[in-house]
Amino acid sequence: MAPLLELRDVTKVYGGGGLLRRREPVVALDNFSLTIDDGRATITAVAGESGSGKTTLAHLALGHVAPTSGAVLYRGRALDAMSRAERLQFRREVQPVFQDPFAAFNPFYRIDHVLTMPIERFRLAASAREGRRLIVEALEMVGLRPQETLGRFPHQLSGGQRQRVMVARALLCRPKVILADEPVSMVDASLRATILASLQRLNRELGISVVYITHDLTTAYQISDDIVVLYRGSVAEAGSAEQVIQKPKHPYTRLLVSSIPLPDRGRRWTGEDLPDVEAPAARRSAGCKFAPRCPAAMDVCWAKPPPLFRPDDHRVASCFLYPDSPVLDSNDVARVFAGAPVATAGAAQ
Amino acid sequence: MRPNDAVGPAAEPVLQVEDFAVYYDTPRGPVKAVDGVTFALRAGERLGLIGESGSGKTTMGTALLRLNRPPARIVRGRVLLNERDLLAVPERELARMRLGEIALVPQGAMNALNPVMRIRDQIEDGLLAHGQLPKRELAERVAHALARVGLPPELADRYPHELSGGQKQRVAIAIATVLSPRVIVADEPTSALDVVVQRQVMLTLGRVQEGLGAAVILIGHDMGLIAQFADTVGVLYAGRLVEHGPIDDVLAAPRHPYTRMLVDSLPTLEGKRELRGIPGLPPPLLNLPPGCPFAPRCPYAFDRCVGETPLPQVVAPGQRVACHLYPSHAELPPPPAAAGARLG
Repeated sequence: MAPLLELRDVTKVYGGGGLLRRREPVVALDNFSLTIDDGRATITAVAGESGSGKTTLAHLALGHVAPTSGAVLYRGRALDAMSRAERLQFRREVQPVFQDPFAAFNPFYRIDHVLTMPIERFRLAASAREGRRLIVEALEMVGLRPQETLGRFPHQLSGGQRQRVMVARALLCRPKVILADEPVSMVDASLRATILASLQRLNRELGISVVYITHDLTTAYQISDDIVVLYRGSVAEAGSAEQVIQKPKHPYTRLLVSSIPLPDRGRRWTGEDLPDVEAPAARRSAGCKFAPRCPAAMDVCWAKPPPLFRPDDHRVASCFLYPDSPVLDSNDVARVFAGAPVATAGAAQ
Repeated sequence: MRPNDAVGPAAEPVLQVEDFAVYYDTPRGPVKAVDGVTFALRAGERLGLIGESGSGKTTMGTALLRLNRPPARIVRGRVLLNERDLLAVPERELARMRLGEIALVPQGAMNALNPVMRIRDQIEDGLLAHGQLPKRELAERVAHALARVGLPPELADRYPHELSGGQKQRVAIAIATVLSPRVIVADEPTSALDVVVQRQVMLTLGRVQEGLGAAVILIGHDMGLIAQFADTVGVLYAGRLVEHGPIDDVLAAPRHPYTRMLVDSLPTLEGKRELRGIPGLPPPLLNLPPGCPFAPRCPYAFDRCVGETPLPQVVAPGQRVACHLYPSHAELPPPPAAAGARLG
């Protein structure tokens, strides 16, 4: 299986430059690798809180920002070394869906505009009539009625409808990958499920891979095959959604999962004191970034960054609690994903 | 967080809301944002008011304290707090009751702190509005208010930008509770916070409430948060309270079809399953026709639902529902065939 979209040892540092160098540089994403394979449609969730680097990852993968080091490749070509034709193909085949279904629309244009634009730009239809047919098909695919959608202005649709129009727009481009950055965080609960179900449908029925970037572990668990949990720009834990969420191994993932407000009276929060995750760290860690807040931190955690230990076939945890587990011989967390090609040599079976 | 029977049914009601209605005046007619809401809140009770965008939950939260601004207008109803009607007392009396007896933590409160005022001055503001105090006592009260939300006293001399999001939200709770109100209305107090911080802030709010013996109305859109925090829940739809009862009962056996579908749409960690949304959209609140506002989306709807507005009725101990399926049904029957909410 050839890699389709590949982030290879990508680091993105913001700030720190300038003549006066007054600002401390911020490492938004730290030596991160992820591969989305061609020929195997997956849903991969990238989960993290504010400051985890998840949105930076989206911007890098879309080529909106260039990595400080490392490379982003599409079909084996680095984004910054593409020909015009390759770039156009990349732009068509990797489609974004963003958080704010209000900001994406020009209020003066009808909904139709946002849908005809990609058809013109990528010459997706030979005639206006065929273009119209494609639009109708795409809208129906995401559960919208074309006659209730087309001809309207953005303010006449609800947030959930607008977000589904954005999914339909992405779909029109016949993409290989949809990169959805918090696509439902501004949408009501009852509509959230509908939008996520439409992403799931594109994945299952049309073979489109989805990268679902979110702060919400519950929906991530529900729709994705695999999850990458980021903490301050580094992978805390990654692997099959079932393993990572149901039996988290990294103390940070455990803290996150136990803090989810579940609508389940049988699984209520306990009242213990939590580490103050927002407070500036009292002591700098040259090792694990989570060490200052980790209830299980040991000396080694402060000394050097933990590698990606592989305590199970389909999971890695960047944590010294699993020193006897094999270490993944690559940064690419996708190696342990559920349907990934058979484990690399040296990995536990 | 605490035993579920913390609020006995025998506890006295501290707040009684009766037939409360708030309309927005628009050139095209009134928008009925809150329409005929009735409920009682017992001392020490935690009520979660859940609703989606446009359900009227924020309008109701502000109007309960008469803090609504035009074009929002309180049309009718009574809000009885300690046997006085908040909607009828003169402005001066109302000012005394606010903060003193009922306090609001408004939506986005953490971003509404005054950026050029120290935390101390912002807490003192509320105290001084209720009477002069010697300097020393002021300082003590500020320190006490901060301690109540788990913040150190030295934080009083900082400015909002020096605090984290969770700290700011806790300051907002400290400001609201400085005069030990009997009712705290908290509107989405954690909406912009990460989950771990959210949990901390909610636990803080719970501790403050228990310390004061106050009742809380938690307004929100997240059933998970309400399930974690509340004793009782009220479900708002199109400005009406369609279901109200103990949170355990409502989650385990929702009686209103909207509540049922809302609960079913929530993603859980209890194994993967098909995601189900609620088809359709809430109705526009301008010129809402008579009948049940949920009828157009309801798989159970029958003739009566279209013309006749259902009134809340008691269907189980402490559980009230506004739906024509009752009293002829004891529980919500399975949905009629072919009308399932499966969406493509």
